Amino acid sequence: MNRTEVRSLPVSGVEDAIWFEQKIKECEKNLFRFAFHLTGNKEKAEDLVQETFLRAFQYRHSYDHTRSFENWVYAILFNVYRQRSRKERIIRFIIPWRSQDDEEERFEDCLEWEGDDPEKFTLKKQVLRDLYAIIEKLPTPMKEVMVLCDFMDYSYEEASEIARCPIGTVRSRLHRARKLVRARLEEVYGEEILSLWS
Amino acid sequence: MDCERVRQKLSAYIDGDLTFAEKERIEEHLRFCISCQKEMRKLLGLKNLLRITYTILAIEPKRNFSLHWQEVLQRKSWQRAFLFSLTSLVIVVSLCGLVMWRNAQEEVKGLREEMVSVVALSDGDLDLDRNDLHAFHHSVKVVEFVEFFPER
Ligand SMILES: [Zn+2]
Repeated sequence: MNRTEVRSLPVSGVEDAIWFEQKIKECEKNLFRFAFHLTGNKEKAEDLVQETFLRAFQYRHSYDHTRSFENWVYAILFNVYRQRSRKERIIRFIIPWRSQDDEEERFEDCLEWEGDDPEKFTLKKQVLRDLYAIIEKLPTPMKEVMVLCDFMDYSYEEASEIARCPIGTVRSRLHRARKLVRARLEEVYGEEILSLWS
Repeated sequence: MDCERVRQKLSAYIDGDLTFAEKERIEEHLRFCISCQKEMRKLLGLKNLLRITYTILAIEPKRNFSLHWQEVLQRKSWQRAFLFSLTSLVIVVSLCGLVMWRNAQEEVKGLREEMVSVVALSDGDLDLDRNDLHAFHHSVKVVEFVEFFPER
């Protein structure tokens, strides 16, 4: 991921749009992955990214050109995601049966593994599926830092910038999130399951 | 440093988020404590697992965002227009409702007055109390009322 670039300010609106499109092309795939990990659903992720680009374009003048464009867009996506999940929570509270029907597309279909041992592969696949379900159920603030730091490999500092919270908060949330995830996995697969990956 | 405190910091340790002094102390502890070493390996395992999850999920967006955003911008303005007309419709409907309700109120008021005068005309020997009046002034028309109580 290219995170640091400096660019001079574009002048006209047309130039703005061209510049913006090009910038988007550079980061849309990463952004989509990020959105997918947050939402756990392809369609929602696409919507999220689309909305993010719209907002980013709307607020393009607030972008500080000495900083990374990608991180700036990530922060916007984060905001949109938070607003949406708040709305969803309210809807789910009012209409409780609605949460079931958006379970359709799970990530298993996207799973591609070039593994050698089929037995191990099946187990690993199972673990991955469960891992995903566990992360999905984490409280939103924990899930956010986990996606940022563990999936996207951001440093605590970058994560705190994107999620707009202090570094100490990132640190403690991540610690708790990992503890929780680990405990759940070991509950199902036994104490030694994680050594498969170490 | 005891095991409990080391474990509190292991997560930050594997992410390289500790000060030099803290790092030193943790490493010193890890050198002789096998159970904390094991703990750290598991944490590393989890970190690797999460990292792998991210990379093996070969997900790609189905559509091209950069080509679509203008279209969506248009859709947005449609949505806004739709929302605007919906709001206006609601306002108009409620205004109409309000006017109709006022009219109905007036009508009921008139009806009641008429009824009271009818009662007065019958020299008060009908012996109606307030509840009776209240009960029928919604539904029964004055004419019917008069017919029901023919002249004695
Ligand atoms: Zn120890």
